[in-house]
Amino acid sequence: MCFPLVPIWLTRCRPTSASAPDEPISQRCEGMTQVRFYATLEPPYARLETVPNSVDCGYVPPGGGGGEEPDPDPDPEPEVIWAGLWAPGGIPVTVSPQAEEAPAFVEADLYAGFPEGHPLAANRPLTFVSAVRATVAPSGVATLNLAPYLRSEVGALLSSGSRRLDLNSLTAQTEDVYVGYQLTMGGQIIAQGYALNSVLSTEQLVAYVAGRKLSPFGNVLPLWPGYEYQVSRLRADFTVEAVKGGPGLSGGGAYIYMPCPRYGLPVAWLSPEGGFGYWVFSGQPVHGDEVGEGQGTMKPKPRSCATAAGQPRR
Amino acid sequence: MEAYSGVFSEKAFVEGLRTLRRAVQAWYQPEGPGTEWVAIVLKAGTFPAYREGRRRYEATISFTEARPQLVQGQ
Repeated sequence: MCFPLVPIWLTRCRPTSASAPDEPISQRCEGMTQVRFYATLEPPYARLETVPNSVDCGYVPPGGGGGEEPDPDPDPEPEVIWAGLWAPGGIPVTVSPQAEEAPAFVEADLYAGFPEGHPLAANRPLTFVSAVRATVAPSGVATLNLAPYLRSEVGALLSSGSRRLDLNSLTAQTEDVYVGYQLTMGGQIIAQGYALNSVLSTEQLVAYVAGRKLSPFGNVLPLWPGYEYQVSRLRADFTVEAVKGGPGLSGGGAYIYMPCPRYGLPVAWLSPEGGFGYWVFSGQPVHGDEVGEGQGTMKPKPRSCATAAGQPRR
Repeated sequence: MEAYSGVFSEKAFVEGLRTLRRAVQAWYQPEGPGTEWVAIVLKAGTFPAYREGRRRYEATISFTEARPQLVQGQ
């Protein structure tokens, strides 16, 4: 009697089937994963087996040990994550060498840029940064910290070829604040993701709601009429967009109008959340035709925000 | 150069502005919005901490322009 549970063995379900019980009736490769379907005459009637990193599907084990049994406990493809470049713990990647003779250290190749499929990949593909080494602890685990190598990979590209965070850059709020990375060992990717110029830990960043603004003020942004500024915003597709700080900004959040500063002095700084903080201080003019002889008698007239900004409005 | 934050009351602003104190890199726009950002070095500042029930906060900072060779980039 047949139980047409899945079409694939409906066609194979013959009571007098001579096929050996362990012979797959179908097998195929999905990338480096081998998928096999088995039919059985007794429950559960159908069985599915997958072998990630199957040698039969072209996977070459690290160390060149081809032809051996597939790794029974293969490492899954590392998840793509956001990580904080300035987090106290850096960007740690733990490796446990499986060799019989435990090596004294492990070495991996670090690449920075944007991987294929990312909108910025054409401008800045992944390029080799450095070989990263770490000693293996007595516990058999080595921890590679990627942050020191990646910090110099964010920022605006200077004519010298190095990068530096510079708010005068047109991309200061977007591609200057993060970079993709990939860590490979023996040709296999062991870590990948995006490093953001924040001090938040990976756990905090994973908990970030996509669309949240990268600002030290969270979702409550201060506004000064006449002073327009941009904030960076994380997106779910691992890109960062710049949005104008203001009530028209989508994505929710509150905006609070601040008192007009006298001689407004916009100040920006690296935000621990990534991106930049922004505040319009009120400064004292250092030079100008109103400055007296230092007797403290000068009393500059209060100006509106717009006038102080040099951008008359209304 | 000295600058004054104005009066504010939101907890997010109190905590957010305090991050300026620890920022390793900051800039200002001496010519106003839309003009060039100039790197600064923070000399001193008073940043109030948030306290339940307190409604008025204000901060002051004192800074100088960073000489180009002192701009570390991060």
